[in-house]
This record gives sequence, structure tokens and C-alpha cells, in this order.
Amino acid sequence: MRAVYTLARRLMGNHDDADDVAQETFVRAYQALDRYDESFAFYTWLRTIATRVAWNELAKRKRRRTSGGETFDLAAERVAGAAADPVALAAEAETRERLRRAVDALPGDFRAVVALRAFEDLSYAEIAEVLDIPIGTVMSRLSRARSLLRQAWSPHDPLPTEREP
Amino acid sequence: MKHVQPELDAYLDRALAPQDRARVESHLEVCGDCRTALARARDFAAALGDTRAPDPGAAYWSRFAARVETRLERHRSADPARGYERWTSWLFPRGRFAWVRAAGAVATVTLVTYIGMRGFRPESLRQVSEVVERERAPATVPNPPPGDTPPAPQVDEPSRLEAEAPGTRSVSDGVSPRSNVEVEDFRAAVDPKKVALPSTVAEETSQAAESPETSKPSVALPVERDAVESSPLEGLADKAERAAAGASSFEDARIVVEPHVAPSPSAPGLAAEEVRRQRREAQVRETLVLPERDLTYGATLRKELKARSIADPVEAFVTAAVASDTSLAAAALLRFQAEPAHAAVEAEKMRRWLVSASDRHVRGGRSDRNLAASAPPADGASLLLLYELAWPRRHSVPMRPLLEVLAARLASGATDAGLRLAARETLAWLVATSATDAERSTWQAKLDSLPE
Repeated sequence: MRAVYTLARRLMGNHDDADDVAQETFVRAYQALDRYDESFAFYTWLRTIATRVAWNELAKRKRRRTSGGETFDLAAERVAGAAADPVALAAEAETRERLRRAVDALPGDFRAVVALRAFEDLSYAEIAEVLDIPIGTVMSRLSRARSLLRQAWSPHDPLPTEREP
Repeated sequence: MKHVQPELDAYLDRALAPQDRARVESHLEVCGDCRTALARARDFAAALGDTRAPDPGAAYWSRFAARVETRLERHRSADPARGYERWTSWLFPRGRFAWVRAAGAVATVTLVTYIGMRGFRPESLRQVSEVVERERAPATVPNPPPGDTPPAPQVDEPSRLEAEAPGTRSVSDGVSPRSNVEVEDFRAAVDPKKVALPSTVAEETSQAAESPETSKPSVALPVERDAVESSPLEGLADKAERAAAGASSFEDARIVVEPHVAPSPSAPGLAAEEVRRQRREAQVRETLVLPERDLTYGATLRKELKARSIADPVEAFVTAAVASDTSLAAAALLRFQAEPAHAAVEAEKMRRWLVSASDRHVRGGRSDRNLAASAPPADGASLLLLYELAWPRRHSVPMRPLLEVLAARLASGATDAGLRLAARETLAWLVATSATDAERSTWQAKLDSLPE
């Protein structure tokens, strides 16, 4: 359940939409039980449903993200690792939070490929299949999304360029 | 020499064609700039994979399943296509007893027409029920002999009503025993109690369980309820009274006069399908209802495996378990179970450890991450499970630090013979394989301090 919500959260970029997608995913799973192929992992099936629900919603609404309305408990984001240096941990947490917000702020079609690649470990071909877009589009969106995210991760990080030594 | 930095992300994603991959790798061997860029790209990928979606909190999860159920119910009642199908399918029955149901449908249409002509008056429904009986009499008795048509039923004649009540039919009421058995099989197949789901889900499942040739449970299930309570016609009268007392609608009246006719299932196929369906539903339920089972896997596990150069999921599991990271442990178990030649015994040990950790999680009411920070699984049973998993892999380089942690925990918690034996064996192995004298003496001291 949390995995579905987490994916929805990453796909939609905000809590309210993620909640809607997560619920809708389970509703559709119930309604489509007949079509579940047991040779695949159950989560894989749920993931496909969640992704398509989110993707359709993004395509339908054509908007990036809602503002505000996030009711999550930030304290729950605390990261384990009590043995780590508190200063380093704080800096790392700050970077992580900055990066997370940058992912949320990506346009929906960029965010989707990042979520499926970076968090769900899907191959380019799998992403292309689940989103029903060409592999070339997956690659170009991923590349542009990563360029944007690198700026958030490290503002002085140069964009990758081709250079002669 | 052309740099390969634009291709490094695809290289890390294992998305390059073999010849491109070879070209990139040969370039990386000679280009320090690109190696630096590769390291940077790895760091970025790790940082991105390490970002966590905010958890909405325990209150959200506690209501989630109920909210899904509500939404499911809303979908069911608001779906016009399904509603149309539900209200029209009984008019056009198919299957082995189609003619019986068709006759019942005709009876109902006649009745609805009758109501329409007279104008709908709830108080007249008790009289209307007589008409229902007269119309349905030929349909409920297959192949009635000519000239043997029973007299029109009287509402105040209990024995007659009992004999003609579809929900209480027996062998003696003129319906063949075979169809009776089939009715029972069908009822068993759609029994919501056999589907351990919330009631609305069970009803949904019951409806979905039927093939197009079988009757709809909106007919079959009320028959069963009526049979328990009283004869269907008495139920009909009760409903008519309720309709008269309350603000009933025309829809209510039509529900009252729906034909109660036996369904005609294809029992063996239905049973097999039902078993499969129940298994799927159990998966949905397990995923939906147990919020503590965080099955997030992928990025975390991949990162962990890469960082430690771990190829074996069991090692990944022990790594996660020693760190009390139940999410990662669950991921490792799933990965392990996906291996074609996995050992069932090891899988069972991993599962038991997870169950134990999950129990603590539930009792503590904390997230996995907080659990990891505050509640290491130090009880003897958990330690022994980890020891049993780790010991056969002690020669693997990444396992040594884990065995050192385990040895220390086993030694400190060695309150019974099993734990002492495990601690002794592990410490002796660490002594024998220590790289330095200082390390050896440290482990030897721990070994010597173990109680006999």
C-alpha cells in the first residue's frame, strides 16, 4: 500500500493528487482482478495501474502540481542512522529535501520518467511501454529532467557537455 | 578523443548498446575528466535514489483502506454502464435455465405494466403479490403436465406459499434435485463469507465471479436471505409494507418484484476461478490492509547492493536485518523469492525474521525508519535466525563485518545454550580469521568471557 502511495506521490508531486491516485489504483485493481496475470509480481501489476492512472490524470489536467494542501507529517521523514555525524546528516538531509522538492516541481511528464527510472528501477523500454511513449522520448525527457535536478542538487554543478581534452 | 560525459547517465542506466558501452568503458580507462564525471553522476544517482517521498503519517494509513472501500462503493453505484447492465441483464437471460428466467422476467414485466396501468400505490403491493404468484406459477415448475396447472395461490395459505417459494424449494416442490444441488453449489461459490474481505468487496467479488451464463447475485443472494427469514412472498409483503411506510420509489417497487429464479452455474469452472480469485483478493487485501508491510523496493536495495558489492540477496537481507531496516529486508526477501532456485528454508527464515520485526513495528506504532533508529532486533530468536542465515556465507568478504556485529550481539545476549553456542562458533571463527594480532586478541577476549 505504501509502495503504491509512494509511487503516486512521486508521479504526482503532491500529497492530494497522490492520495487520489493511490485510492483509484486499488479500486481499479479490485475491478480488474480478472485481468491480473499471476506470472507477474503483484506489485508490478499495481505499479502499472498506478502509473497509468497518474499518467492519465496528468495528461487530462495538463498542470504541473497543486500548491499547498500537503498534510503529511514531516517528522516521519526523519532518516535513520543515529551513528552519523549530525552536521553531515543535516547537510545531507537538506540536500535530499532540496532534491525532493525539485523532483516535485518538475513538469509531470519529466517527473514520471524520473520516478519510474530512479525510484522504480524500470528500464527505458519498460518506461516506454508503461507510459506508451517512444524510447527516444523517454531518453530525452530523462536527460532534460536530470539536467534540471542536477542544478537543484548542486547549483554549481556544470551541465554535461562534450569537450575536447 | 571525444568525451563521453553525455552518455554517462545512459551508461549507468545500463541502457547503452554493447558497442557503445565498450567504447565508453575504453574511453573511461584513459580519461580522468570523464572518470570524475562518472563518479559525480554516480553520486547524483545515489542522491536522487535516496530522496524519500514524505510519509503522510499513521492517521492517513489507518483510514486508507476504509476510504478505498467507500470509493469502490461509489464507483459501483455511480457507474451507469454497470447499473444499466444490472437492471437489464435479467430481462435477457442466457444459459441453461434461460427459459425459466425469461418466464420470470416476463412475469415481472407484466407486473410492472400492471402497476403502471393502475398507478403505483405502495399500499396496493400486498394485492400485487397475488398477481406475482399467478404470473410466476408456470415459470417455477418446469414442464408442467397439461391440465395439471395448480390453482391460483392465495396469499393467506402458508403451505402453498411455502411450496412455491423459490428460496425454499426442495426436492418435493417439483424442481429437480440436480438443479437444487447446483443452486447450493452456486451459493457456496458466491458466499461472501468465504471471501475474507470487507463486505462491500465481497459483494463486488460475488457479482464479478459469475460468468455471463450464470445468474446475477442480485437475484440469487436475496433468495437465500429470504429463505432464512421466511418465505419470499412474506418477505415481499414485508418489503411492500416497508415501501408503504417509507418514501419508496418506483425503483424500490421493482426490486420487490424481481423474479426469484434459480441460477444455472457451471460449477467446476466457477470453483476453479473462485479459488484463483480468492488468492488474488488475498493479495489485494494484504497489500491494502496491512500498512506496516512496506514493500518499497528497487532503488534502496539496488543502492545498497551496489555500495557493498553484494550479489547475493541473502547477504542483502542479513545486511538489512542487522541494521533493522525492515523495508530493505523485505525487498531482499522479495528479490530472493524471485530467484528461480532459491532455498525455501532460507526464505522461511527471512520471512520469520520479518514477521518478528513487523510485530515489533506494530506494537511500537512507529515507521520502519524510526524503528531502525531506535529498536534493534536483539531478541534471541531473531539473532539466531540471522546467525543461521549468515553463517553459511561467512567466507564472503561483505559478510565479515556483519558477522562481527552479530557475534557481539550474540555474546552480549547469550543467555541460553543455543545463543552461547552460536556466539562461541562465530567468535572462534573470527579469531581464526583475524588479519592482525590486535584484532585476534579482541575476539579471543570476547570468546574467553563467554559463560560456560
